[in-house]
Amino acid sequence: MAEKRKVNRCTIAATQGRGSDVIVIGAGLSGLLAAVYAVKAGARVRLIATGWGQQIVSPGWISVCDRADDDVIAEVRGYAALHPEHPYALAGLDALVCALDLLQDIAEEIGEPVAMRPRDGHNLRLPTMLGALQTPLLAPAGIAAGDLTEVEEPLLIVGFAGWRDFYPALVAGNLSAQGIAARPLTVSLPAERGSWDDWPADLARRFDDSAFRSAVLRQVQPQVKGAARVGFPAVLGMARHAEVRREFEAGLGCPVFEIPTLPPSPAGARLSNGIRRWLLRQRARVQIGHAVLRGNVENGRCTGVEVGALGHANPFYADTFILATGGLYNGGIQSDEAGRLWEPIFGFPVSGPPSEGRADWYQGRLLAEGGHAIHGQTGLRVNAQMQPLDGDGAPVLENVFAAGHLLAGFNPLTDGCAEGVALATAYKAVSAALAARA
Amino acid sequence: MTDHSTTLIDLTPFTADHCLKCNICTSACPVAPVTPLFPGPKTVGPQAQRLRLPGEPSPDHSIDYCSGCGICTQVCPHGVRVMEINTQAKAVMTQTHGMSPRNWFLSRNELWGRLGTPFAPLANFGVGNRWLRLIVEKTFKVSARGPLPGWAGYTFRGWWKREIKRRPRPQSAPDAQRVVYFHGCSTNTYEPHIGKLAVAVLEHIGLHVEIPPQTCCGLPAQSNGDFKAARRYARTNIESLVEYARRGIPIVGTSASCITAIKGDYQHVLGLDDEDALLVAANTYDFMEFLARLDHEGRLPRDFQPIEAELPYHAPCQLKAHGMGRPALDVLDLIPGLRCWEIDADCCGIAGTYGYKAEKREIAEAVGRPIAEQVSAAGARLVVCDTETCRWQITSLTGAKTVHPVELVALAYGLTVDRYTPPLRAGTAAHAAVGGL
Repeated sequence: MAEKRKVNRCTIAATQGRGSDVIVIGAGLSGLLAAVYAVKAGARVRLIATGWGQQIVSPGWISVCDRADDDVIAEVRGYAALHPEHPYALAGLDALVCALDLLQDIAEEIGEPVAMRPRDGHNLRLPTMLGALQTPLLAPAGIAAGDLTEVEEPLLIVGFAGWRDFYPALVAGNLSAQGIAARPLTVSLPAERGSWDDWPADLARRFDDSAFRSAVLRQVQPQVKGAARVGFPAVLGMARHAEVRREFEAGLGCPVFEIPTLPPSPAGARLSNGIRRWLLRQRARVQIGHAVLRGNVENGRCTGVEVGALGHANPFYADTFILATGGLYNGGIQSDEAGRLWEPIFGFPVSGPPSEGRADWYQGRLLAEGGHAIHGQTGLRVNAQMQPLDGDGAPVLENVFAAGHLLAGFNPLTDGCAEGVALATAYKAVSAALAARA
Repeated sequence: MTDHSTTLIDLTPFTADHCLKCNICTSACPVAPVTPLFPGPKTVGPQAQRLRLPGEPSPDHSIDYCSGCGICTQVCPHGVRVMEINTQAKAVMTQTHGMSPRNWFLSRNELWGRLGTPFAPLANFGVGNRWLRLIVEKTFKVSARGPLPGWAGYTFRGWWKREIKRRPRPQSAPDAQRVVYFHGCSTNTYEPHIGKLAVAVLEHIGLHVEIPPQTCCGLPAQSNGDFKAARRYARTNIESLVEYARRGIPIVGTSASCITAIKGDYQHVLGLDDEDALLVAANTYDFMEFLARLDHEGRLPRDFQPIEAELPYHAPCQLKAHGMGRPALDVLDLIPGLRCWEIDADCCGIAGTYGYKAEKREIAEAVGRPIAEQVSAAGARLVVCDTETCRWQITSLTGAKTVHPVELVALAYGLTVDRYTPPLRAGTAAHAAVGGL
């Protein structure tokens, strides 16, 4: 085995300019973390993705094990011991812990820090735009500041008149109903636009403008009236987010936090943009906009991938490949009316629920306990090196490693661990890929 | 010319059905954040497309503020051709409301390039004169700050005719060693040195260069909604190039945006999807993409002299649309000592003819600001970029000199051409040359 690898290394070394050490396919949370890790390990990295990943349409927080009441990592350890097919069990707890550290490091480095509860390792308790509570482990600092575990009351929840994506009375009402005193406040935004709606990203950019945000701040200041904390929809700045939060906290004399609203998520966009800039400055390649069509395979190894491009497909070569293209909802796994499931790039075997067609996948409630079988049972089966397996449990290709939502063995919608799995498996996949090159 | 609206319905507009309204395109659009006049690609594109009959105009004029950079199409994870939908909607608007003389003028770059050449000194005085430019801005709405190039005073094609008379090339090369060069209008009349260097590099590699008749790629007309003219230009090029494509002879071009048009826009925007058009698209390569391919095949000579420099590189929006990665960086990485890094910017703002329009100049400058900030932070005085209008825009935004990557490749090969001074020096003396960069 070792000898075979050596031979292949020589071949790759001769492929010259276009050969990378690692090609990462996918620009979601898994793909981005994989690229960052590989670059930090000194590899020449090329990130290729059809488009930006789902962090831009997600709240931005990191669910590792939402249902854990106390120490989250201990809970995951116990769960993994009982579920050996779960990606956490396969990737191992070290990978999860290292991945969370790496995410915090890179987030800090690009100026978009993420935060967890200090010391105790418990989940955060964060308000949603409906006033419900979610319990992720980590969140962008501005959102994490809304942790309601030990809450000083009352909260002031601020919204903007005429904006369709956030209703402060709804948030405050539902929080109060759960015993967390909160009152709503609606302020008006300086007029600028014509007749169209603002999206959260539009508003976030307007908050970058100091005159705009001062006009908002001035309306909130007299209404603080003893509030312990002030919550805003998560639109407090795009490029100048940290500055906006600092200014608001100073101006209001109390902590300020953000509540995620509808997509696109400014926090997700900031993370993606920041990591892109960091990767480019490290001289990695970032190619967003064209899908990988297929992998070229010789003797049980992938030699390169072909990208669908204008005019003709374009080949890219590498030693190792990280497949992080997402699950059924993200294009990493495809399906048809007959209920067939397939992985489009390498044709890896996809496990799924027994069915006669798509109709068998559904139940009465999308997010019911246990959920649709299709959510929890679909995906690629991998070994502890994150190599996709064939029907006999043997790796299909020795230098392709899979990570994120396209893996089988967990339910990304109902398990409350979607981001944790994305990060842990990306970390493990890159570790295995780098070890395979060594 | 047959009516292509049927194929347009079947293809590009149909992709709107994949839109989930996730707004990833809206959050990535470089134009929407800097002006309240443009509501964003999703709103004017897939959203407007939902119930719009093909051929019907958009409900308002905001689409006019789309720069056509295509970042929306690239970031979409679902394969919606947002920019292409918008460009087609712009064409319908132009058909409905007519074309302004200014837009007609900007669409005919090829014509002005040729007409200005014999009067280069006078014409160059004109584009360089602030007062004349202000008068033109007031009367024709062409921004006085839009970076217009000077005419070289001779054409690349004229030079090539003289050159092959002076030094006849052997005609016996097999097809596998032939290559067609698509120079584009800018190289022909404003920057012939790019074409001369491209020819020198191709011949250094050992290829037989052919330069058949060609005209404007059609992109300026297309961007301004004049699809009739754009298709006429496209047809002329396809007819001239298809014979080479049939023989498997690669067609390579140094203007990444012209090559985008030939490879992709002819089909996806203009609806030219016949066999000839697709064959030409399949055999057409960006110049640096072609070099990277040769390198992978082991056919690119590695006799590079070192260039000791660390240079920022801008990947034009239209180059990003190719789906070929960053071949310029891949090839420049082969030159010892040269370390290029990519500026994090979607678009320089000029977007072909957009940034020359008086009412859009300020937007174009705001879109390009991230480039200026990063170039200035790096203290760089030389920027590498594959497309001409972007180079001129970057120079106007940053004050830095700009070069096409072929200039660095030629320099590293030790190739020189008449009436051209390399931006820096190669070889061991380069340290001194680059000290101030």
